[in-house]
Amino acid sequence: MITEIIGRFHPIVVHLPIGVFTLTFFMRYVYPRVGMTGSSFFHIALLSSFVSSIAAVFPGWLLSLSGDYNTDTIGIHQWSAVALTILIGLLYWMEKWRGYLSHPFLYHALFVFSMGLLIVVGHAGGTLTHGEGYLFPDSDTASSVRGSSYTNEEPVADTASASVYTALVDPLLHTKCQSCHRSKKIKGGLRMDGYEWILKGGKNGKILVSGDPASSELIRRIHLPIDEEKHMPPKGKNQLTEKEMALLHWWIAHGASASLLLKEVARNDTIKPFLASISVAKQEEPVLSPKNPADSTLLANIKALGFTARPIAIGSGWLEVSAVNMASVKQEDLKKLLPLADHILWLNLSGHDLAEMQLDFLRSCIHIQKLNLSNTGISDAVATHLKKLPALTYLNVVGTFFSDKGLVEVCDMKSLRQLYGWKTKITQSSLGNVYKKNPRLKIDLGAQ
Amino acid sequence: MEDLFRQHFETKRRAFLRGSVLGLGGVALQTLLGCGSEKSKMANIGTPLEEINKPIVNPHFIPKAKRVIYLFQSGGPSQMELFDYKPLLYKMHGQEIPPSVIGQNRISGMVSNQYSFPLAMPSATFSRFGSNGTYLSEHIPHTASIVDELCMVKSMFTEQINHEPAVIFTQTGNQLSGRPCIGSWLSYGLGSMNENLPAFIVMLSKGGGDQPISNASWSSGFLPSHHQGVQFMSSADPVPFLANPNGIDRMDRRRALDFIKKINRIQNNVWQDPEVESQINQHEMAYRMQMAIPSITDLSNEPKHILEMYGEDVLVPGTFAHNCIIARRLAERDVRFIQLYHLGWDHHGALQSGIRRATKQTDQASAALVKDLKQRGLLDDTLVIWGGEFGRTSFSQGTLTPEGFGRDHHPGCYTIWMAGGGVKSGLVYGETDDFAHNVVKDKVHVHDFQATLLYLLGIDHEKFIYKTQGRRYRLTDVSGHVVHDLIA
Repeated sequence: MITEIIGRFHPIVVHLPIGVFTLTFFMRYVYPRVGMTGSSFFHIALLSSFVSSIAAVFPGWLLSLSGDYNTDTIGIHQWSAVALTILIGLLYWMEKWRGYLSHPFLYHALFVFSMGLLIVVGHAGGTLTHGEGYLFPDSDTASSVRGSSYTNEEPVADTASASVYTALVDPLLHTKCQSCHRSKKIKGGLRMDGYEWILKGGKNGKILVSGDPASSELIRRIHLPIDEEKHMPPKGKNQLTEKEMALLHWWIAHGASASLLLKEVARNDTIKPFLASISVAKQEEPVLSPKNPADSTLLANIKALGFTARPIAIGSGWLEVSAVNMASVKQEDLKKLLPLADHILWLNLSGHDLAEMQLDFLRSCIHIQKLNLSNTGISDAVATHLKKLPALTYLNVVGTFFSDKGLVEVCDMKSLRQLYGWKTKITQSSLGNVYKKNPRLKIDLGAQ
Repeated sequence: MEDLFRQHFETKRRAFLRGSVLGLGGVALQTLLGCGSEKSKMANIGTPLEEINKPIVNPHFIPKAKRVIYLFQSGGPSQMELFDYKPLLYKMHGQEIPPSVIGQNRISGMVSNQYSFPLAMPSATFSRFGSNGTYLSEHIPHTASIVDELCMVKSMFTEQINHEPAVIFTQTGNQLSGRPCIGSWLSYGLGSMNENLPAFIVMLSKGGGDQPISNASWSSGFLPSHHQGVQFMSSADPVPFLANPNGIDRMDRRRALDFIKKINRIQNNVWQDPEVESQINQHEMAYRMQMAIPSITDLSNEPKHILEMYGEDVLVPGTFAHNCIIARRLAERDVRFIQLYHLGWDHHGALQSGIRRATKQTDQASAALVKDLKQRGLLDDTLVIWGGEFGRTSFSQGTLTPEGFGRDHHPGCYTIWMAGGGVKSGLVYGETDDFAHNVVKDKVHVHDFQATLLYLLGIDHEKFIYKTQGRRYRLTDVSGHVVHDLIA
């Protein structure tokens, strides 16, 4: 016990030799006037560095015995620290007995080398404390110091078969716990970066009792008051939110299983807030890049025909075009839309008789997201114009002659999310096949 | 000696003159320099009002909703009989509400003479509905059937305890009348999508035994008055005198209106009254509505199964169900803000029969509206809101008899629901305490609700302002934050 306490002084004491030796180095090479006269300053400075270095190495060794750290990383730090201590001792000896006069090159080389070694030792120490990627964050390991926003970097591509553990619990532990409980840093002998490790537990035993959150150490610790020593995550680190605590509670209560599938529990109130953050629909929201404004003459032309053509937001070049104010839409009117087709984001032609019209201009609406063709008398032929559109998410064909044939053609569209087919010839029975091909497409056939 | 004195006084005079020049001049310079205020605020100094007060025309950012249908339940629906299941109230029926629960909350003048505040058990049984197992009462089975579409906010609260201020507060952001309501702000800011219909239409339905409602609730306040809500009458002819009299045809009407417009404008060159322009706008809108309205109110082309979905009242003008189906037809024609008021929720007494009557009048049609919009593909960009101006107390008003008991106004917590228009579906947001008296989790103030509404329409509630009487006003007054947890 006492060894642990002494060990914990290492992070404090170690700054003393760092400071004193750096100062000595500075005085030697940056202020050469003080340097070469062999003043007693350097005696004292190097002696203090040596003594404080020993005073730091000893608790450091005790700390390494606690088992909280990965032995490989400790190895480098530990032995280079010992080497540094010896070198400093050597420097002191050369200083005291004027060795620097007889072997000036060796003396200076040793000095500079020691400074370099100090940087190496210090960096290794920092890595032990803060984790890799602290100084220069890289993609894998930077997570340990990432902010608290709970976003999964890798979109859960397949929520249909993802397990609750992989999709929800593991990412949560990754953000809030694994900075200290993983392979490279094993605080309390506990690893939380893998299902087997969580089950195994740590120095103080198992952390969860399957089915019984109240007896689980994990739950006990996260619920301790924040000022309690054993409270997890430690004070100063990102804390768990209420919803996250509820998730862990729920997961343990339901068996802490790695195989429980997400879709089996998707409707539970605890799970839902988390589902929202990884929901496929949310991540698929197309990122809209800015668009140059549409040509004003072209806009004036279509407005003169009766179309409303407004930017979807102030300053945006993307257009929302609607024929709601027109008495009728003629073929020439649609032709006038063609030059602006690549600006159209939302198009509403609802209620106009388009049965006899050529709708191939739709192929040029390469960025269109929402298309409303309800009650226009169109048929399956329109599907051929739509199926290559890369961004279409909403298609409304309510009250038209659209049928299963057209549905088959559009169901492969990767971007399509909602299709409204009330009062069409689409049959309920075809929906199963569509779901198999494109599970993200929701089809609403209304009241039958 | 005099020289000495003279010199002494001269110095004083010079010091005074010098000081005053620097002092007053400094003040003037300060105004000119704007004294360190931001450039954006600087720009408004000396900017003519017409520059500041311009409709935004397009939203600040991409909207999720384009239309709003606000089903306002006037009187204050009792949340304990409808949405907020509190088992404790059944157990503690007849017992005094603990004073610690009431705390410092306001009670209205109507119960200030009461010496006893017994808790009244809800006059309803609750069951679980939907994939989330949300608790809803037996009185709203149709709403329960669409609960997976709804975003229910149980933690609404307000400060207003009486009807008129509370309704005006919910609609305008301030309890004193004189400010524009939500619909007027939207009509002014975004304008109308359908040029043949007003952007803001209001319909009333009366449920019996109700509080009056004034048109301050759909007033345009200080905005140009043609942005006020156009109230449809509760009769077979919703817009009176819309049709031309016998012998006058549309061309005659057009020529007459053109001439009237001409002479109005000649006179307005003298008067410079903005109301004249409003009047001209209204004439023009009426002219266009002559074409558009008959097709909306004529329900003969509605299939029978759709009419049945709304309930038996649907063909009776002036009922909530009828107004709902009209609202749907208006939404199909891109009317931006459709507001329904159903009067009849103010159950100070006879709550047991009152709540059954009010829900019978509204439940089926509210749910039918959501279902109908959804199957037409309109729910995604139409925000439907259902709610009142405040809630009701869990303690009884008056003597606690099973049939006669009532509940008083309660601003501390109430429930509203929203559907479509970019809100999360299947969500129950916020919680109240076991006595349904205080909000304990995720408070949503009226201003927060208004800020969120504007956000869904793509408007930043802090940027959307109108300057009048020397001050900038906005719908959310000086507070309100968007509740992002409600947004999908």
